[in-house]
Amino acid sequence: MPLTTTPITPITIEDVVRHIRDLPSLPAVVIELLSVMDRDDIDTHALAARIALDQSLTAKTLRLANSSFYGVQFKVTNIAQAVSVLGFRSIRTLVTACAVTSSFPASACAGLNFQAFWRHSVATGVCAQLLARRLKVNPDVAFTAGLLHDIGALVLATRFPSQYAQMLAYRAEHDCSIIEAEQAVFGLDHALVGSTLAAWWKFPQPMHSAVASHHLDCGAATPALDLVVHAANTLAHALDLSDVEDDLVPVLSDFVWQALALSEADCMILFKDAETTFHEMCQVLIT
Amino acid sequence: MNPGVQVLSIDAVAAGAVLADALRDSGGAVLLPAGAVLTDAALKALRRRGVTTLGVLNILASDPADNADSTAASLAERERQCTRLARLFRNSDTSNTSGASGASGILLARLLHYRRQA
Repeated sequence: MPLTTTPITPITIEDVVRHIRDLPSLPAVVIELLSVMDRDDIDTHALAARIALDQSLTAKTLRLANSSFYGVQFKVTNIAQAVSVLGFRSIRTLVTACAVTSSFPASACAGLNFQAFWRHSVATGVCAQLLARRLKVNPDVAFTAGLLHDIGALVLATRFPSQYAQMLAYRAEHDCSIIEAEQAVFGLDHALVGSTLAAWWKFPQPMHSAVASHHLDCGAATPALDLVVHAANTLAHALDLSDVEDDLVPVLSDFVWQALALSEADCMILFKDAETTFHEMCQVLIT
Repeated sequence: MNPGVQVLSIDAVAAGAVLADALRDSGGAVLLPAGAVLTDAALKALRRRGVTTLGVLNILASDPADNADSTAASLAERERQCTRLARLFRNSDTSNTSGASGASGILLARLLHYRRQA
C-alpha cells in the first residue's frame, strides 16, 4: 500500500478540538440518557417528562414509535405513552439516535455521501444490537455505540471540507480503506476524532473506547463493547447495507470471531435479522 | 485454508467461476481483478501465460442439485451476488492462509451460502 509517511495536509488533534467546540451540543436530556444507559434504577417518569420538553426530538421519536417496526396497533401521541407501550429502554435508544442524527445537517456535509454514512451507521447499530448478548453486552448500549462509531467522519467532513475531498480522492485512487486514506492525508483518523467528540459530548467511557478502537486489533484485554462494535462494523460492510459501489469490508479479527462463536445456522438467522431490522430502522431514522 | 476459496488446477475450472483474488503476473501487474468471472477465452489466455492453478470462490459448482432446476436468470443473479461479495472482500486477502484472513474467509463463505439460499 503506497502510504506516505508525511501527511499531505496534516490536521492536529488540537485543530479538531477547536472545531468540535463550535459544534452544537447535544440536548442536556440526551447526555443524561446516555450517562444512565446501562442502569435500570432510574426515574423514567422524570426523564420522559424532560424528553417531552424538546419538541423536535419528541416529534421524531413519536414517528419512530409509530413505525411498522414496533407494530403498535394504535397511534402513540406522547412520550409518556410511548414509554409505557415500548418500554423505557427502547425510547432511550430512539431518543439518542434521533438527537445525534439531527445534530449534523446534511447540507453541511459537502463531499460526504450523507445517506450512505447514516445507512452504514444504522446498519452497524443494528448488527451491534443483534450481536451484543453473545458477549454479555447491553443491546441498547451496543446499538448506540454502533450508531455512533464513525461519528468522527462527520466532524472531518463538516469542519475540514477541502481536505476531506482530498482524502476521498486519495482513497479512490489507491482503493484503500478510509482509515489508511485519513492517515495519509490528515495524519489522524476518524476513530480518534470520534472519541474526542464522544468525550466532548460526555458520552460514557465505554462508548469512547468503542468509537476509538473499532479499527484496532482486538485481544483478550479489549472490552466486550469494543469487540461487538468491531464485528458489527465488519458485518454491516459485508452485508452491503450502505449501498456504496466501492465499499470495502475491513479485515475481521479472528479473536472477535472466536469470541462470538457463531454457528453456520446462527449466521443465517443473524444475516436475515440484520437486513430486516436495518430496512425498518432506516425508514424512520434516515429521511 | 479459507473455506470460501477453492484452489483448483486451471483444467478443473469451468467458465463462470469467480476469481477469489487478483491474479498477477510475475512483475506484479494485475491480469484479472478479484471477482472477475472467468470466461472460456480468459481461461485459454491464462493457460497461454503458463498459469496452472487458480483460487476461485467456492460457489456455483458446489451444489449441483441446487443448480439442476435453476433458471439462467437466477444463475446470473447468483453470479452477480458472488462477484459483488468478492469485490466487497477484496481487501481481506482471502488467499492468505495466515491467521488474519481466517475469520474474514469464514464470514465470506457464510455470506455466499446465505446469498445462495435467498
